[in-house]
Amino acid sequence: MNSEQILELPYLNGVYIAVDALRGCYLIVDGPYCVFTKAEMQYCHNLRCTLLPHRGHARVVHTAAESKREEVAGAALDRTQLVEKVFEQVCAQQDAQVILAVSFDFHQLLNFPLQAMAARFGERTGKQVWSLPERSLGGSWLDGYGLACETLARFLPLRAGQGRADRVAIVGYLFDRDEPDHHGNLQELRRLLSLIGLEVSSVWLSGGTCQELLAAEQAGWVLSFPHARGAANLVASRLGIPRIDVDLPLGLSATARWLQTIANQVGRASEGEAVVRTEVAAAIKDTRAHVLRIVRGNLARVQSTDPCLKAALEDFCQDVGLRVTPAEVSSEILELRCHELLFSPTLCDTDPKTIHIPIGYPNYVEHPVGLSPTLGFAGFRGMVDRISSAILRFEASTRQRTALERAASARNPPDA
Amino acid sequence: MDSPKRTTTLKPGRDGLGFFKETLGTELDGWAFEQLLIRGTTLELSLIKRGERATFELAQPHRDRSGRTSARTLAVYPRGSREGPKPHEQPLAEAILDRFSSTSFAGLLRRLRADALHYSDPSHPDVPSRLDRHHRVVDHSADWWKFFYPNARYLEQDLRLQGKVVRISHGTAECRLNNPQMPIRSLRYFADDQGVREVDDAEFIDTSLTEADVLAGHTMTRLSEAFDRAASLQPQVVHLMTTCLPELIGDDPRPLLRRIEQEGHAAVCWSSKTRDPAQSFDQLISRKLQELSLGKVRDPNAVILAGIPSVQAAQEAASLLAELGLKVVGELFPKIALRESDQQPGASAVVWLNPVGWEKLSNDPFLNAGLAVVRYHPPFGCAGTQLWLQRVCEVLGRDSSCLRGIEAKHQQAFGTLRAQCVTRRIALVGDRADLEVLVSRGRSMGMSVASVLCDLGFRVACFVYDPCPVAALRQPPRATGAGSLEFVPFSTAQQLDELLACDVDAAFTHFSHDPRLEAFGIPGFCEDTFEPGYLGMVRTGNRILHKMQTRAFPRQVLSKSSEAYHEL
Repeated sequence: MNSEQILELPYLNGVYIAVDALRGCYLIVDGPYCVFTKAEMQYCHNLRCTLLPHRGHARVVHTAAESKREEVAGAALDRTQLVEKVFEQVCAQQDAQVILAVSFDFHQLLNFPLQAMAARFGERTGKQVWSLPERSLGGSWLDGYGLACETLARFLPLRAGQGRADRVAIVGYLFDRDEPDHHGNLQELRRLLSLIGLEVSSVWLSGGTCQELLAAEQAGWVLSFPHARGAANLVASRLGIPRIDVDLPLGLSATARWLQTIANQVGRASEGEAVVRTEVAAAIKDTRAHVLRIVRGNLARVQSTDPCLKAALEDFCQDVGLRVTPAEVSSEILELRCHELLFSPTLCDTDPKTIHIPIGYPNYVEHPVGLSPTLGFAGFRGMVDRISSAILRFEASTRQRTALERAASARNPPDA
Repeated sequence: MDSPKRTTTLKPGRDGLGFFKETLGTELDGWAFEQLLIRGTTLELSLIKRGERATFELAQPHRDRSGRTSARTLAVYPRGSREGPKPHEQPLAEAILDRFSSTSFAGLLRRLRADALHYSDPSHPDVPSRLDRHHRVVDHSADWWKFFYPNARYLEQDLRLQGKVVRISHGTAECRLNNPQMPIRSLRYFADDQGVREVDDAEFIDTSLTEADVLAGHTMTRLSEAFDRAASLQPQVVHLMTTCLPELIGDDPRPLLRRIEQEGHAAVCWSSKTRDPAQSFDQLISRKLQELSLGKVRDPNAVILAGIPSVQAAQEAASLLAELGLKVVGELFPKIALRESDQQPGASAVVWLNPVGWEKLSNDPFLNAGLAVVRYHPPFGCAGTQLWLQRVCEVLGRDSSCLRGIEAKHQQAFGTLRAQCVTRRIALVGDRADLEVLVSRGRSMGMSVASVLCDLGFRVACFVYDPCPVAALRQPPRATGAGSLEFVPFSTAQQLDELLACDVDAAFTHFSHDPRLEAFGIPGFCEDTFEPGYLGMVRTGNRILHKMQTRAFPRQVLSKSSEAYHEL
């Protein structure tokens, strides 16, 4: 892997995230054993990943159990019975509420009738068995997550007419792991919405069961988040309730805008204004010293294959006085006597001269124990906190390194 | 314990093979020697003539066996076909017997075994691999007792090639990104899995095939573009990796490989899903060795060390060999780092430190260059290191009287270590087949884990899973090495929990985080913890002790909250 080259994750990675974020969901992937090794990325990103339990049945299941090796000849055979056996086995799992099916890259070309088989097993077992759109040959991980949510939105038995005007369903939230960063985000979103008199009835997805998704029925509004707009459209239209499209509330300005947009749409504009005024003032008060003394005046680069996150982070950088640069700027750092921050997932090697702030998917190196939001005003405080610590640690270690180098060169002068 | 019968296949070494070929001679009615294998207590000889092959088994004469051509002490059985021996095989068998009439089979076998090459059989080890036993199994409910999932290693793929290397991956992004891509050990599912290989600083080119490429028939165009880009980098080696999809649709990269080889003078290597990659690596290595010209003048004291797991292991191996008067002048595998030059005499032998995982690479390039090859069980533990050094002495004709003295230098360190280990109890858990591998010295690890642990002084408890345990499976602790070895059967998860809860300080597991052990705060380790050599053994012992000493959540706390902990 080349330094700092960011990898666009493929379709199934996003599907796996969605499956991991829905308790009772199983995924049958018509493909080789690599289906298992691929799930390990999620296992490393989410310390509470339940896709690959050490004991019991895997939640991500391939169809290669009978194969001796991955061979072209094997793929060309009639595999109907073999795949049926896998469906039978997964449908027999007591905790399986939703069973999704999809193909792994070259299996997509074989055009195996997964959709028909899913329908047959749905009828036969009474379980919710659906095939996903096939995009393994070229789709991105964001397509995978979005289309998995969309499939749930299309087929889950949602009943219209149960909603209340003071309740919202968040659809399209990217719940990529069951860890306290997301718990913190969801808590903060609920808190902010409650400040304008709204209650969250359901979050798609949030690590809960199908029951939690079905609680969207109680909502009078759908808040459409960027990572599954298609699903949000479907939920809103199936429930016959209005939809509010929002961006990620990441950073001071974005969160203020987010809250105000929702407040305006639900007819609580003045409450929204008051809340935003108070919350922004409090957030600035809490972070002023950090931002002014430590954060501002540095350069920042944002690397992400998630355009929503990238835009939100660039917006955030403006909030805290970081100048966003498109490419590595070593010479400028020396000239300006500042640092360069890199916001990116942990899937690329980073230059030791930059200060890496891991964010996005995957994040292997940070697994918070306590609530650690990135969204909302609480998330703004958290981000400023993380960035300040990273800058100070970097400066301290640079000083220490320089001192050690000086001491070493004093012990062994070049002449010696 | 009952041990299933396993036949180990070895290839003959330089001297054994030389003797055999010389005795066999060349005048066999146009038939030429192809291969000789030592299969347990028999030999398998293949001869070829104009594309036809005749195979014979050479063995001790057996009264009840027909079809033999036999002298008093040696028999030759034509393998023939289902229908029996082919017409030309009988006279050939008689000719072979005639050539070996002056030697007994036992004598011949002894001579061939004296420098036979261990770990040279490229077929799978006898135990089911992690791929078969874990990755291909989607329901592990029945495996509640299983901790042992050995990974079949194919280290030729980890070869670090010299010079400018370009790797081309011909496949989809879905296929390429099928693992975590980052070697963060503590997060991985399996304890010995680094995920990303430590390889050379190769340039990486990815064709990232899409549905559009496939439907429009452009996959070979993508590959050709990748080759053009590779050629522009003027590499010395191009390594092409083809994956399932291009093979399914019939992409044939051979013309492109030939083109880059001819035009750019780069060596090429092609590993794929459906063809044995070792052959390709073998050719590449042969070519590399030819380029390096292994020296016309040989220094009998100079050796090349091969199969090097770590820098520390290489250093210790070099100093151990120095005690025998041998000098390491080059290192091979995973790096190719030969320090030979025209001014210096070349090496006279290749000494394998750890050949496990390198089975697919042939030793023919060394044997053909006239080098002796020492390829034996890797030197794990005191006994293993003694045997390894003994083998080096035997094959290279060295005086072995100094071996005890070499070990004696480490006695003080062993004493200090064993004093700590002797109070600790380690569990090895599995069914009889798993424990057979953990207790005996087998191909999958090249060592007996139990023996090395006993060598270190640990009390080793083998918990044997058997659905219907028999009394004979229980064996009380008996002194073994500096420690002890015992066998305790179990048949239910509850019994296993009870065994683990009582006086277990560490356990062997291939999982990075094993909930069954973590329920009791027991640290796990696997073969990756072990290092070869005497100093390696000390580091191994210290490493395991360190795991025991840094056990999180004190036992008294755990005992009060076992329910909650179990839920983890």
